[in-house]
Amino acid sequence: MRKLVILIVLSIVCSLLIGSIESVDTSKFKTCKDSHFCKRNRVSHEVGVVNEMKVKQSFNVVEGSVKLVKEENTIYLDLQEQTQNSNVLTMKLQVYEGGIIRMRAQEKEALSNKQRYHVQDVLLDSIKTVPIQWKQEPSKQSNTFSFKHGDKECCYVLVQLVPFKLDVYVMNELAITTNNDNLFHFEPISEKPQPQEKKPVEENKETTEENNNENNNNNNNNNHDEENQAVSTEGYWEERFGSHQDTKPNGPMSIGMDFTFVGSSHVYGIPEHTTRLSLKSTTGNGINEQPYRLYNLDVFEYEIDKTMALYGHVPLMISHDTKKTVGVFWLNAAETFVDIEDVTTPVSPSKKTHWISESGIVDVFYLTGPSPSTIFKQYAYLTGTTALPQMFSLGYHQCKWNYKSEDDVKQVDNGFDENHIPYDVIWLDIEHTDGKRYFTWDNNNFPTPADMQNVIASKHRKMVTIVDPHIKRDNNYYIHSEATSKGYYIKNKDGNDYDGWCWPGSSSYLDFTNPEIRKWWATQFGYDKYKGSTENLYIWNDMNEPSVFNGPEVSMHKDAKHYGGFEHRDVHNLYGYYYHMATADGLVQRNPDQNDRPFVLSRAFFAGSQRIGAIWTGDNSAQWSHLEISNPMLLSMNLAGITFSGADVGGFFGNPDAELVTRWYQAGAFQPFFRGHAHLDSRRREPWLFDEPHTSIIREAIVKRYTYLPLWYTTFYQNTLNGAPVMRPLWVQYPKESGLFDLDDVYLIGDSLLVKPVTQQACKTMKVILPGKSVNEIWYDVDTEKPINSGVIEIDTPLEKIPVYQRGGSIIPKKERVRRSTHQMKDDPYTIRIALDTSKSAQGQLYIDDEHSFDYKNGKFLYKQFTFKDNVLSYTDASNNSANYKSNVTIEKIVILGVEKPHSITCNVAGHEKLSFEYDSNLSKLTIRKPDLSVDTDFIIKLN
Amino acid sequence: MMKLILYFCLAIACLAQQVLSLSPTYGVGPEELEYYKEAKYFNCLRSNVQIPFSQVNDDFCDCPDGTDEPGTSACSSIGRFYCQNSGHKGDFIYSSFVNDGVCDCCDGSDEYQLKIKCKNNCKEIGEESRKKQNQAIEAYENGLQKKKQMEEEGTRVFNEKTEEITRLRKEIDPITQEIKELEVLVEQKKSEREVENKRLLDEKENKDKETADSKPNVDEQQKETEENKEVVGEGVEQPEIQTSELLDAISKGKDDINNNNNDNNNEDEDEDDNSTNSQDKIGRTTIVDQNNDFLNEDNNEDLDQFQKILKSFKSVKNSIYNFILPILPNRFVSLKDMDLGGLESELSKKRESLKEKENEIEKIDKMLKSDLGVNNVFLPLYNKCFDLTTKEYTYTVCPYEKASQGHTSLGKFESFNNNGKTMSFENGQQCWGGPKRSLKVNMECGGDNELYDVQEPGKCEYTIKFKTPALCSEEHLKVLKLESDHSL
Repeated sequence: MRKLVILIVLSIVCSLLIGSIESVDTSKFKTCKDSHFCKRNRVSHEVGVVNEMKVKQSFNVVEGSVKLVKEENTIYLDLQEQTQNSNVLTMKLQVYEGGIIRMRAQEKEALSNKQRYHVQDVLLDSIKTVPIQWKQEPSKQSNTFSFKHGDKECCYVLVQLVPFKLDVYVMNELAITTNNDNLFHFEPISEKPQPQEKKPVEENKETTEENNNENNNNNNNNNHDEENQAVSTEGYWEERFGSHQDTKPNGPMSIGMDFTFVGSSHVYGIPEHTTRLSLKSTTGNGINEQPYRLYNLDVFEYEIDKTMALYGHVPLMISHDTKKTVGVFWLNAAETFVDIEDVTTPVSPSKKTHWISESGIVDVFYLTGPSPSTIFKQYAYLTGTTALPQMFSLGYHQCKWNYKSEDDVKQVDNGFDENHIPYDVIWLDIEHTDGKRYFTWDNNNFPTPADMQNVIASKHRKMVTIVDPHIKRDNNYYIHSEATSKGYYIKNKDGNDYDGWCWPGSSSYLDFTNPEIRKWWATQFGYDKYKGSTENLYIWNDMNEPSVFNGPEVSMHKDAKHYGGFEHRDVHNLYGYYYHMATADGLVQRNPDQNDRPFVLSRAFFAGSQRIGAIWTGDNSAQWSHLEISNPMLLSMNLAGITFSGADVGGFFGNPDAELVTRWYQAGAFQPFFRGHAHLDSRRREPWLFDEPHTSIIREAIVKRYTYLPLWYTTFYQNTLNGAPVMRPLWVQYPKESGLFDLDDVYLIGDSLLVKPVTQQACKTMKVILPGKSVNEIWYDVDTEKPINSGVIEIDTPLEKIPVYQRGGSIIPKKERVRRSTHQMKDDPYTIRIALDTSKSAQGQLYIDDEHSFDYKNGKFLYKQFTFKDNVLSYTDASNNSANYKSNVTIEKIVILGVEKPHSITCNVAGHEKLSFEYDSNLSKLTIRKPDLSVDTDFIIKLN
Repeated sequence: MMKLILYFCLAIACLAQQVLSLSPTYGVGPEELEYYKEAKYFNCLRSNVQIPFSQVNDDFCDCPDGTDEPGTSACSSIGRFYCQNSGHKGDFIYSSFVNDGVCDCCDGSDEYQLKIKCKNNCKEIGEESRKKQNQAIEAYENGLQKKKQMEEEGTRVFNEKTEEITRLRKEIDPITQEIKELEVLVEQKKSEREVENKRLLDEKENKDKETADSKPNVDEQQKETEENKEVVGEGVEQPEIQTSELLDAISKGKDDINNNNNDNNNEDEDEDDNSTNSQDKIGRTTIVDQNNDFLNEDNNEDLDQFQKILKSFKSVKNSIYNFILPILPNRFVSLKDMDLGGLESELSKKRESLKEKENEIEKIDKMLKSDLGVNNVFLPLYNKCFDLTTKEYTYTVCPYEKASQGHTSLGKFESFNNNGKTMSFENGQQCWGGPKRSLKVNMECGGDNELYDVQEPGKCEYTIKFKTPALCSEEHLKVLKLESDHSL
C-alpha cells in the first residue's frame, strides 16, 4: 500500500514534470525581478519603473592606502563608500603569468559570525603571480596609478582613485573599463535589525535609520521618502518565491560591477543559454530583455532564445573585435545575473556589461588576450584544460531512458553489428537500479550485470550507468544509512538532514563541498562496493544542479547549510562540479594502478568542469530548432573551456521523424560528444529503426565520425597544450574577418575542418560561408575533393550531404577502416589527407597514445608534425623529443589534393625507397598507395 | 580431440604466416571463386575497374566495390568475408570484422592475425545448429499439419455457419408474421379492456367519494410502483421511492410512449424495444421537462392527484396502455384480463425469439464477412482468446475482438495488415499524457497458437509476437530445408 501511495505521489510529481510536451513553465523560474538582490542592483530600463530599487554606491580609494607588498606580488588598497563611511573594502590587485590581472574586494573588517564565500577548488594550484611593475606610482595629483600586466609598456592597468575606476589597456588602447558606470555595488555583511517596540511614527523613523546604519542599503539622499524606504527593505532578510520561503539569515550581501569592453560589438561566453553565440543585448536603447542568468537549474523542456538559466554555467565572457580579444572571468558560484548593453562610451561601439551576484566576494580575472588563442591559453592557465578523453568516449554512444533488461541491452548491441554501424558505449538510465538506489541493480531485469558488461566488453565496447546525487531515504539502503550516520547530508535551515523529492521519492543530498565526503563518495565506486560493476563500466551524473522536484525552482533551498557553515546560496553553482569531481575521482581510484582515465558525463557544470569530464546540454527536444541551437550552445561552451560537450542526438523529448533524426546524426557526428538519447516515453530510435535511405545515411554519418577520430583525438590533445576550443567559431581562426563574428551555424574542428551541418527541415540548398578571403584560403569539399575558393557558395544539400570542408594548407590524419568500435581501430593503419593551399604547402599534427591510460603524462605518446612544402612531405617529432611511444601502426595511404603529378615518389626509409601512386588529373589528386611507413619513425617523402 | 586441437593450431600458424602474402581466394565465397583465378589483372566484381592481380588481398582497398580485398579488412565499409566454417555452414561476415579481435567465424578464419585465439567450434555449433534446424523443420511441418487442420476446421465452420445463417433467415419470416397477428389480437383485447377499465374507474370514483377518509396502503403502493418502475427500465436507483419519483417514472414512461408515437406512429412492431432503447436523449430531455412542468402543477402526494393524472392520460392514444398498464398497480388491471396477459407473454416470447435469431444472424454475418485468411485459416481463432503472463501483467489477445493488459484495454480489433502477418488493435484506453493504447500482433509460423515477447517500442504502443500454424507456408518450409541441406 505504501508503495502504491508512493507510486501515486510519484506519478503526480511526474505529471507536473512531464505534462504536455510543449514548453517550459517559466513561472517556475525566477527572473531578475523575482530575485531581490538582482532587482536591487539592476539598472532598470523597464517602462514605468523608476530605478528606486537601485541602491547607489560610489567607492573611492582611501587616500594613502595603496600599498605594493612585493613579497606577495600584490597591491593592496582600501575603498570607502563616499556616503557611507563604515562601508570599507579592501582590494587586492595581482598580475598572473601570461597577461592575467586579478582584482579581489571584500569587507576590510567583516562581522566575525558571518563570512563571505571564496570559490574553492576551481583555480589550478599551479597559477602564479608575477612581480608587479609600476608604470606610474600612485599620486594624489594625478588621482591615478598604473602598473603593467605584461613585459611591454603597451599593456597596463590604470586605476583612478576618486572615484574608483580600473581600466585595462591592451596594445596602448583601452580594452576593459571597470566601474565606468558606477555600478560597483557591495552590500556589507550586517546584523539583522531587531524588531522595535516604539510608537508607530517613531518606529518607522527608527527602522529607516537602522537600515541606513546597518544595512547600508540606502544612500543618504534626502529625496528618498519613508514610503520608499519601507518598500526597499522588503526582501532583505527574507523573501518568497511561489510557495517557497528563503529565510536569508545572513541578510543582504550582494555584489555588483560593471565592465565595458571598449571598441567591441561582440561578446561571447557565459554558457549555458539557448541564445545565439554572440550574446544579445538585454538592456539599453529600448531593449527590455531579462539579463542572462547563471544559476544551475533543471529546466524542464527548455526553450530556444532565452536568457534564463540552464543546467550549468561558466562566468567567463570573451569580447572580440578586429583588433583584440579580451575577457572577464567573474569567479563567483552564487546566483548571478549579467546585463549586456551596447553603448557609445568611452568609444563607439562598446559593450557594457553589468554583473550581479547574490553573495561571495568580488573576484575578477581580466584576460588581456590580445588574440583568441592567447585568451584560451590564459583561461586554461587559470582553470585547466580538458581532460584528455579516452578514445572510446569520442566514439558514438547509444543511450535511451531506458534499456529495459540485459536481453534488451544485448539485442541493441547486436543490432549495431547486424546493421554494420560502429558504436562504443551503451548506456543505462535510472530504471536499471533497484528503486532509484544508485549503485544497485534491478534484480529482475538486470540479474547478472557483470556478465552483461562482459558480453559488451567482448566486443571491446563499454557500458555507462547513471548515478545521481539524490540519495533515497531508505534505512535499508547502505549509502543512506552510512551517509546519515556520518552526518554527510546537506542540512536544512533548521539543521536537520535536507529532505527533498526526486526520482526515488524522499531524498537527501550529500554535501560534496566537503572534501571528506567527496573522498567517501569516491570509494563507493570501488569494485567491492559497487556490486556488479566492472572495469568496463563508466558513469553518468545527472540531476546535479541539484534537481529537487519540490524545491524552489526545482532546486535546493538557498538557506540549506553546507560544509564550513556556508549557505547553499554561496556554493550553488559549484555543487554539480564537486559531484562530478568526486565521481571521476572514484573511477580513477577503483583501479589498483589508478591508470585508467575516468569517463563521467555531467549535466551541471562550472568553470573548471573541463578538467573532470564530458558535459551535455541536458533535456532538449526532438525539434528542428533544438538541433539548430545545439551548435551555438556547444560553441559557447567550447569558448568557455567546456570542449568535451554534446547535445542529445535526436532530441530528448518527443519523437523525431526520420529526416530530423538523420540530420541530427549528421550534426552530432561532428560535435565533440556524440550520444543518441531519448525520453522514457519516446519511441525507440536506434539508427536502424528508420526506413531506408535513413538508416544508411545515419550509418554513413557515424562512420564518418569514426574515420575522423585521429583528428578529434589530436585536437583534444592540442587542447591540453593550448586550451583552444575543439569546436571553434570561425572568428577564432579568422579574427580580422568581421563578417564572421555573428556566425554560429558553422564552425571548425581544430583549425582544419569546417562543418556546417544541415539543421533546417527539407533543406535542398544552402549557403556556406567559407572564410579566409584575406589570406586566399582554399577549401576542399571532403566528399567531392574539389577545391573551392573562400567566399559564399551555394550548395545542394540532399539528405545524404553533410557540408564538410578541409582547409587548404591543412593535413588531417584519418583512419578510414571502420570497425565495430574504437578499440578495434587502434591497430589499423592511417590515411593522411593533405590539402594544399595557394602556396602549395600544408601542415598538420598527429597525436597517438594507448588511448586509455595516464601513461601519456609520462611521455608514452607520439606527437608528430606533418609538413608539406616544395613537394616534400616531412614527418617529424613535434613534442620536443619528450615523446617515446611505440604504436607499430602504419600509414596505408597518403592523399594530396591540389598537387601536380610527379614522375616518381621516393622516401628516405629503408625498404620504402620507391612509393607507388595514382594520380587523378581532374582533381589534381595524388594517392600514394601503401607507403606502409610506421608512424613511430620520422620520414621524408619527395615528389619528383 | 587432442588431434583436433593440434590440427587447429597448425592451421592458425599457417594462416599467421600468410599475413604478408594472403592467398587471393582467402575470404572468397564459393560462388565467386572463379573470378579469383590467377591472372594478370583482376576485374572488380561490381564496378568497372581493373587492377593488377597482385593487388588482390594485398591489404589495400583498390576496388570501389571492395571486391579486391575478400580476405582483409582493407575495404571495411563495403567488403564481405566468407567463413568456410567446415562442419557448419559457410557464411559471410562484414570484412570490418576481419582481424578485429572478436571471433565471428566458428572456424576462426576471420582472426588470422591472432589478436585473439579463436576456437574452431564449427563441429559443435554445426551439430547444434542442425539439431535446431531439424527441430525447426519438424516444428514447421507440425505447424503446416495444424494449419491444414485449421483450414479444414475453418472451412467446415464457415460452411456450417453459412448454412445456419440461411436457415435462420428463413425462420424469421414466419415469426414476424406470427408477431403481427398477435399484436392485432392484443390490440383488440386492449380496446376491450379499456372500455372495462373506464367503467371500473368511474365506479371507483363514486366509491371514493363515499369513503373519503379510507386511505389506501401507501407503502404497499410504493413497493408495487417500484417494481413496476423496474419494468419500465428507466427508474431512479433509490431504495425508497417518493411519490414525485413515481410520477417521474410515469412521466418517463410517457415520454417513451410519446417518442414511440412520434417515431413509429403506434404501428411499429418493435415498439417496446424502441421505447427502452430510445437514444434520442435531447428530444427526451425536452419532453421530460415539459412533463415535469405539467406534473409539478399537481405536485401532491395524494392518491387523488395520481388518479387525476391517470385521467389525463386517457386523452392519450390507445397505445399508451402498452406502457402504462404494466406499471399501474395491479388493482387497476382486472384479473379478468388473463387472456390478454397470455397473449402478451406469447407476444414477448415471440419477439424475444425473433431478436435472438436476428442477433445470431448479425453475429454470423459479421464472422463470415471478416477477413478470415486464405481457406478460412484464421476462422478457428474467431471467438478465442490467448494469454501471455509476464512478470507484471497478463496480456490477452482475442483476435477479431479486443486486446488487453490486465484490466487495461489495448484496443479493439482493427484489421489484418502486412499481408495477413499483423493484427492491429486500436483505440485502447487513453494513455496518460499520450495516445490511446494500441497493439500490433506480429504473427509467425509455429506449431501452436501462442503469444510471446511483448514490447512497448513507443509510449503505449505495444507489440506482441504470436506463433500460429496459420502463418506456416510450404514455400518457407522449402527454404528451411534448402538451408538445412546447405549446412550439411
